[in-house]
Amino acid sequence: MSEPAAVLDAEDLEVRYHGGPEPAVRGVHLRLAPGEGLLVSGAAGAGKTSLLRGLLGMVAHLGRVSVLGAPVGAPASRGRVGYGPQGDRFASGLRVREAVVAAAALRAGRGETVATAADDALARAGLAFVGDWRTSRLDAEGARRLSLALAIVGDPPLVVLDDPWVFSDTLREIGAARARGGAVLAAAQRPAGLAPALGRRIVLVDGVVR
Amino acid sequence: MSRILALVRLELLRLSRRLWIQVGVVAGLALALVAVVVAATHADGLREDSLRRGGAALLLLGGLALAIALGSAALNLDARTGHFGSLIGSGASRPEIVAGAVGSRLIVLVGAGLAWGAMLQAGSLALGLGLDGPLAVHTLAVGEGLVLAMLAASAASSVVAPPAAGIFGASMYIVAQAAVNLRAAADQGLIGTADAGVRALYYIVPRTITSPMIAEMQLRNVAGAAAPRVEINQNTVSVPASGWDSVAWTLAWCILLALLCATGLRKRPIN
Repeated sequence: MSEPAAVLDAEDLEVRYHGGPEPAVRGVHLRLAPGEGLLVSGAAGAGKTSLLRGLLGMVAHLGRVSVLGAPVGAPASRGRVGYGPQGDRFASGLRVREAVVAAAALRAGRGETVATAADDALARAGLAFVGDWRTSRLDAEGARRLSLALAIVGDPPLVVLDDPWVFSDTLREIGAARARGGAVLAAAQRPAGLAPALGRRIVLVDGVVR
Repeated sequence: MSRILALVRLELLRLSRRLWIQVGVVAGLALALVAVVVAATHADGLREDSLRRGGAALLLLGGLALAIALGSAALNLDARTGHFGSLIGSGASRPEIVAGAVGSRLIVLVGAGLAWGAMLQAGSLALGLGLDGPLAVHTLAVGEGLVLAMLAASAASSVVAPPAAGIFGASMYIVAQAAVNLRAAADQGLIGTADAGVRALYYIVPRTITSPMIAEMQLRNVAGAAAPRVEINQNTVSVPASGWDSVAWTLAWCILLALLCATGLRKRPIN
């Protein structure tokens, strides 16, 4: 029997900032099949976020990365990834619902589908009651929930979570994404209960998988 | 195209909520009103000169401040704070993100300029001067220079921090104005042996657009802050109105700078 097509496939990935002497990440091989999950853990500065950024095409990288068979960044792979960024300023200047609607619109298109998908994601991330708030009003937990909503809106085939907090909503959404045949990749310094939900785990040390 | 429109709409929404932009646009409207009130204190031809002088100063100085402020933070801050990263993670490409960020700023800048221009025209009507065609043309002429400065600052903002990007944008405008002034001086034989260098500069760098209105007012030395008398070696330089070739040349520079915005963000690490 042939292997199922990979949702995410990375070979010999290397991420290096500003042509620096030491790569932030090197020699990483990853393969996520439909329904699979993967936790990337490691200490602060180990390269977890750099790895995710390399996989998503946010930083220049060496090696091959493909999403559902298309090179990362290619038109065919765009809109098939749901990304929940770390930090709390990624949606500055917007209201909570506007940020999620924008992500849905960029991922899926327009019209009622977008509004419905956004409201659905807000409810699943526990943010339905603050949809009209400015994102600057959200506390740290609210920002993590908004990040989750951005990642799951429209139910993309690949969900990438950077520094998610382990809410019951997070664990439920990881399970739901895997159950519908999607893949989930999460990076966390303190993974807590994420590992069982994701199934597999790798540890980054100084940019290398140990 | 729908992604670009969605991004432009999103960025416009964010810009419209920034207090300094709201204050800047409203302050421009208030200053236009002040220019009208000041003009009302004059009679006859002086009234027209006063309105045009005040309006030209507002459009140049206020517009330049707005253009530099908008352009200097067009790409750097959002690339650093995670906003662009979340857009890429949602399926936007880098050129689409640049189109959204820079396009929305262009709309704000042009919108502000048109609003200030409309206020001046309304003032002209209220003062019994009728609609001021030359001032309208001048608004468009200044607008092209402001777009140039904003795009220069935006292009720089893809690689450097806001202060440096702002300085680059302002420098580009100053160089463009210098090219025009020096060329006029060279044409009047006031430069001497540097003629060839000045002409070469004129055909390389962008040019600000001198409207017929401001050229005529500068000649009479009544243009005020927008076009003070230019002197080289104690000789007054008469700067003529720009031709269509300069309009097209600067437009080409604007397109080049817009492409540089996209090029600058192409390899930049995005958070």
